[in-house]
Amino acid sequence: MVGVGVGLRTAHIDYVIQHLPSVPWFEFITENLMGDKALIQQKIKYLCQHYPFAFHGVGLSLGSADGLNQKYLTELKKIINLYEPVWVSDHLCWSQVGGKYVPDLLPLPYTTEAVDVVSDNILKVQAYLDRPIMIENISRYIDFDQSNMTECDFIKQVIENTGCSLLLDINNIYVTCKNIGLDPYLYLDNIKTIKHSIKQFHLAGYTQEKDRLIDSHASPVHEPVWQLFEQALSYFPHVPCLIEWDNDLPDFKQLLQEANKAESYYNTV
Amino acid sequence: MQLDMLENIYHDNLNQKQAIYSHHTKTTLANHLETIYVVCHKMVGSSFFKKACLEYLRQYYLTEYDLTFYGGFFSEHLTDIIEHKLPKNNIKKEGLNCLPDLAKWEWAIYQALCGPNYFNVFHHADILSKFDVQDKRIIFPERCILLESKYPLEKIWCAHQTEAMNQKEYVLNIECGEYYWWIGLVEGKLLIHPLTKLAWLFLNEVKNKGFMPVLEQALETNQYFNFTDILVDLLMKGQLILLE
Repeated sequence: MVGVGVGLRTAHIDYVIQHLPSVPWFEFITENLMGDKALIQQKIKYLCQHYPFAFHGVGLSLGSADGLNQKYLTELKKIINLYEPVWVSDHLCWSQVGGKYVPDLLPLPYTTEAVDVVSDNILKVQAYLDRPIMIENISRYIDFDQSNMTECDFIKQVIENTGCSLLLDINNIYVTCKNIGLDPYLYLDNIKTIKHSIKQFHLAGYTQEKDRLIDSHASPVHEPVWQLFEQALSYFPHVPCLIEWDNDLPDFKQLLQEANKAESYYNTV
Repeated sequence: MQLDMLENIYHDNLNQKQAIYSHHTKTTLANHLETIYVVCHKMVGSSFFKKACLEYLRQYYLTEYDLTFYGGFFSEHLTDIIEHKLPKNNIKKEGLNCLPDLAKWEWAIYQALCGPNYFNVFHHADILSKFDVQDKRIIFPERCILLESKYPLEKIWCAHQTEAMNQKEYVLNIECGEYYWWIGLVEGKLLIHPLTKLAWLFLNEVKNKGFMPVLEQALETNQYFNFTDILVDLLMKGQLILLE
């Protein structure tokens, strides 16, 4: 896939069906299609005839120490077979353990033990789905004392172990680095050694809450994130990008404006 | 370590730095309950409702990756609060008796609108394969909900919709009795059908046992209703589906 795609949220589906706007590709939240949701499935089936699609999940919980949820995997495989998305991605995090879920993307300590857990889970997912997946760096608000490597080194080891690709979320890099006290440009510099594994960028807006940045996806992309994106494009000029907006959703035209703005950065590289 | 962190998130036992995860979980789940139980919220007010939500999420964890399934025990939770946690002499208590049934109603509406709804396109080949149709060509549409209550829930619910609330005066006469409904989504539209007790009993039987056993039982005993009339009526309204 090429160019700047848009994260298609449920509220915009009818508009997109009606207008078939000029967007190179869409991303859809995987879980919204899972579990026999026939109405939405019919609509997405129709849109798949007009646009390339990527599936982006929030519930795979690749960092779960007690393994993967087989029910989830079965559902995931079912919809992948049905829609044949170009990409399947999820996050480098955990959200369930012991059959209990948290509606959040929880961070992992960056340890060799965690590398093994995540790698093992990704290998199982890829074997079951019979295709490679993409993993996304999350926004973090804390750092664990147990961590004995950087996030970049953690990602590199996981990718080396599994052969999966990286979905590099530029907003998440910025949010994490500001919250933890790191340099986002140094992060980009460190990650560029695996440039061939980076297949997609995400861009979104954050929210400032007291002394912390929250990965809220509730606003336009902020200027420092655009600047970081520009730097990322200087390292990885051909990687496609996606605009995400999940909360306080504006009308679709505003998302297109954000996508056009992102597109303009490619033209200046 | 993960299990401890999860427990601490739900029970708000995280240190100051990590508390953001607890806050986010509570906010997400409470907002979700607020989205579903709009009328319950209006009836009890924000303070009561918020407290009930926070108690609920400490007791009921999210057990599915899909948030759509969260909140189905809110009716039981409200019953517990009304019966065991409100002071016996609380003057509001009597007015809250219909609340658990109303929560069941709102959960049914939410499931019809947002939950799995494949029956809605039952003619689709992919969907048809989901049903075991070996011995029953007539089925109860899965995920449609049958409700009974002694309170006129539909009337209470309608009276609390925004349009009705905008009217300057609205006196709601709640007559207790026997009320029965079928709730489902048909061609993308929410349908609420009041039922007779007989139709409700019949549909419940079909839902629980399948059509053929109910037909056989009715033919053998012919004891409690005019089978043909009720069947035609239910099929015409889409409350039962004829698979051909």
